[in-house]
Amino acid sequence: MTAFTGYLLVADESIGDITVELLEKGWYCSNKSESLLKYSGSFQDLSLWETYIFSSKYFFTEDKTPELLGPPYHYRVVCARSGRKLIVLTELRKITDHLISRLDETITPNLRKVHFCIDDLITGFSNSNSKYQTTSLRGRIKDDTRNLRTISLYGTNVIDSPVFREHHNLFNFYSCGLGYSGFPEMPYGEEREIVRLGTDGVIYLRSFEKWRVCEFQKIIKQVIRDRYVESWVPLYSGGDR
Amino acid sequence: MEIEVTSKKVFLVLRNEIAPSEQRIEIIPRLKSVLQHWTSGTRVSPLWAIKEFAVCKTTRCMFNGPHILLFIGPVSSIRALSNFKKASRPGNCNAWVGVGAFNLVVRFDANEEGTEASRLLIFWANENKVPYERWQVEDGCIKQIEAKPLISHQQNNTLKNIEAFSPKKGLDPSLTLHANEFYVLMVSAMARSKNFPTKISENLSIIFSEMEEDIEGSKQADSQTITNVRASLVLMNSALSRFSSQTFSGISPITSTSCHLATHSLLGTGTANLALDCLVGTIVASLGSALLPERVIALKSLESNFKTYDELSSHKNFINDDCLGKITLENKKDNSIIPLLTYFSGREGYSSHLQTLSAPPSSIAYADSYSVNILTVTHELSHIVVEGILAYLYPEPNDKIAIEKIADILSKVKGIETKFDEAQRLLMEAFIVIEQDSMREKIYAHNIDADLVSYLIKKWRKSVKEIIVHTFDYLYFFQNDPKSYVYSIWNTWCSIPGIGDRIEEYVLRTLCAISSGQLHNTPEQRYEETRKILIEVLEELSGDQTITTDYALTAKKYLLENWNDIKDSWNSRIDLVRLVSGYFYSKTITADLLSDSLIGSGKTGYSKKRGIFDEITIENPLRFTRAYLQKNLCERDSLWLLHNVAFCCDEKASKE
Repeated sequence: MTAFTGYLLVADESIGDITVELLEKGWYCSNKSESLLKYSGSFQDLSLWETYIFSSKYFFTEDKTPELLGPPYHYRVVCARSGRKLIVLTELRKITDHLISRLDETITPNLRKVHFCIDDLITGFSNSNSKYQTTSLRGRIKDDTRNLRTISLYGTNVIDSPVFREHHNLFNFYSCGLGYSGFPEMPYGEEREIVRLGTDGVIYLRSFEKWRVCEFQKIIKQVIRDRYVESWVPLYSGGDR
Repeated sequence: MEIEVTSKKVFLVLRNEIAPSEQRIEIIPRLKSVLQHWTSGTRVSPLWAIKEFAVCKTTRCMFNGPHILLFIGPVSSIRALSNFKKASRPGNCNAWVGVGAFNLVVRFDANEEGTEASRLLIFWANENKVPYERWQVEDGCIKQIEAKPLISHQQNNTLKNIEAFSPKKGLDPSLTLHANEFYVLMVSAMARSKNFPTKISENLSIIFSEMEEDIEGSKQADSQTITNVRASLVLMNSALSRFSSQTFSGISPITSTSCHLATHSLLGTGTANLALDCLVGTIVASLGSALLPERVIALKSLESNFKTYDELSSHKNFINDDCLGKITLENKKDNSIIPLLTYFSGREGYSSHLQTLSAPPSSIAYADSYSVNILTVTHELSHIVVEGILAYLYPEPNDKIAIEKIADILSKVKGIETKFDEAQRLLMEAFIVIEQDSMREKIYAHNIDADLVSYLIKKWRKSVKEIIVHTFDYLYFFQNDPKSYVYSIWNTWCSIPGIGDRIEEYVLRTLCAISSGQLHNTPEQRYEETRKILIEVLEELSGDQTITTDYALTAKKYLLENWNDIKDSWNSRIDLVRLVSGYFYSKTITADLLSDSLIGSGKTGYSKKRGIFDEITIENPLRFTRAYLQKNLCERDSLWLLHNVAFCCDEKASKE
């Protein structure tokens, strides 16, 4: 199954709820009208999730065959809209980054990327009542010495490990993977991971299986509700679903 | 959204003409041209054009015809402009960024399109409670001014209890003048601070309360107390005056205020002051809440592992113990952190007193350069923290019992019982050894008495404190990175005129500081490694064309020609280095000081690009500034750094 990478974006109050029309048309670009995205139906029959086709003159994937056919190149974009919030995912981060820079040209004020406060998130999800476990962590040492810079930890429940408990206060973690603790029969590590979130706002979804997407939606809701995001991110907005 | 500013600055010039009585405004590309026509009513400020807004040609702009000039701030320029829809932005409008309180300046043609666009931007400013001032300009002459401060005079309830600012009766006559000055300065600053982030007026309130307490406490106090209060008032008044002049000049009404920093006389340096305040405030909050002096006192409850000084001075492991970080303070007193009043001063440069801290104006222009970077404030902050700790380690000058106790310890009559004793022993032994090295004469234990201890403390106190401060600064703020430390500190020293006669002292301080990272080595390894690093960096600085003094070369020569003597002096101070490493420094506290929960992967952990203004927030201005230090001297990059520190720190993060 394909992995997806993207971001959570929030529209300014003046724009209001994000609509299909806004994503498709934005503002007309300079002197010509140009559709940025084309709505292409729901995604895998999952409610909330929609597919769009993003056309670009730039080629991003590694498969060279399409390149021979020349621009425009078409990329699948998977979105979920909820009030002023939008999750936008593609199969490659550079495609998402390019899409967002194009959206910036057509929507003003720009949709703003949400950055996740990973340190707070780890503390919050380490609560024993949480049904999610930390499957991966990447961090940077706080005092940034030349001798040690970063650390990566992988497992079933990383924050329950002695290494984390003894040394976590020396690190700022910038990436956190969350897995569902309710599947003991799953192999530990990567398969168990539902989503990986980063301080730079990156969302990495291993695959789009229904159970994973459902849990991902719950995680995002909890992250916003419990304020593991920057202070400007609205708690509720308009037509939140 | 991202915006980029040009590297070349221009100057916004206001001329108050007498005959005919009018105020004229223009943009001039070179300061030389401004000076040629300077009159008593001329004021000027530098601005950098935003490339996305039709860069103004770098020729003179005299605002021929009708124009609207909009001054907005203090605010993140990107935040203001990202809400300015591209579709409603007229083709012919210009925008600039500066370091003043009104840090965003936008020009529109005064036609229908421009008027509507300015109205939209003003609407945004009103909605988001950002002060602005709108000028109508015709052929370079200001015709009309519309100002919208954040809080009107009627709404300003900061001063509701005006009695608090009234001069007090019963003060010693020598204090009255200074106290009156203080009250006027403070009430003026408080009134103007309401157009700024609330933190400024909150800090001023705390500072006012502290000074008030001192002033009240001086009534019927002894002459020494009155002298101390008078000194505090003099320093505070000087700081307040500069702080207000810099931060609050360039607010509405712009034409009526003037900043004493001549090249920023029109719009002031409010953004730079906010940045300095944010940086210093972050460090003070972090180190302040660590309660280092209290932790050192708490060492009295920890039993010592060493019974003699010889054991203490030869053991290496205590350095990695982090005994300070492991202390849990019981009954933490309600310790509201007293903020420092920060300002820029050409005369004082980098300087600190109990409640004030200054940086040179050159750090506005080159905040991110190795030679004059704004992080040099860490040395001044280290002074304040170290003073606080040493106050508990030193005996009071008039406390004969305490001095005799130290003499007993030093003469080996008494042993070491607690970790606090260990720290005090290392400090006091250093005085003996430094004196021995200086006089080339041994001091025997049976000759150590209270009089000798008092004499040595008076003689070497300042020098000892500097070694401790430098080592503290090195460990906490440079994270044991010797090259970076030596490069930074010597770059700074090399740009200060008139310190040629202190080179030897500075070499010694540098060696002591960086040797704190070498304490695990044998003395010989330590000497060689430290010497090698210092010579390497001095060599590099000697060849740097941007440095006009020859201090680096002189220092290198001195190091090479006097190595044995230097080694002896350095060795005599090694206990001070051990003191800081083992008892003042904590890895845990440093980790908190440098923590940034918004950091990511990559070389620096920050995704911001130098010179590109964006909306990405940062949490730790100290860590951010260190990540973006550079060798180049570039005012545009300095502006970018100051803007980020002033406006992009996440409030949620900084409150915690």
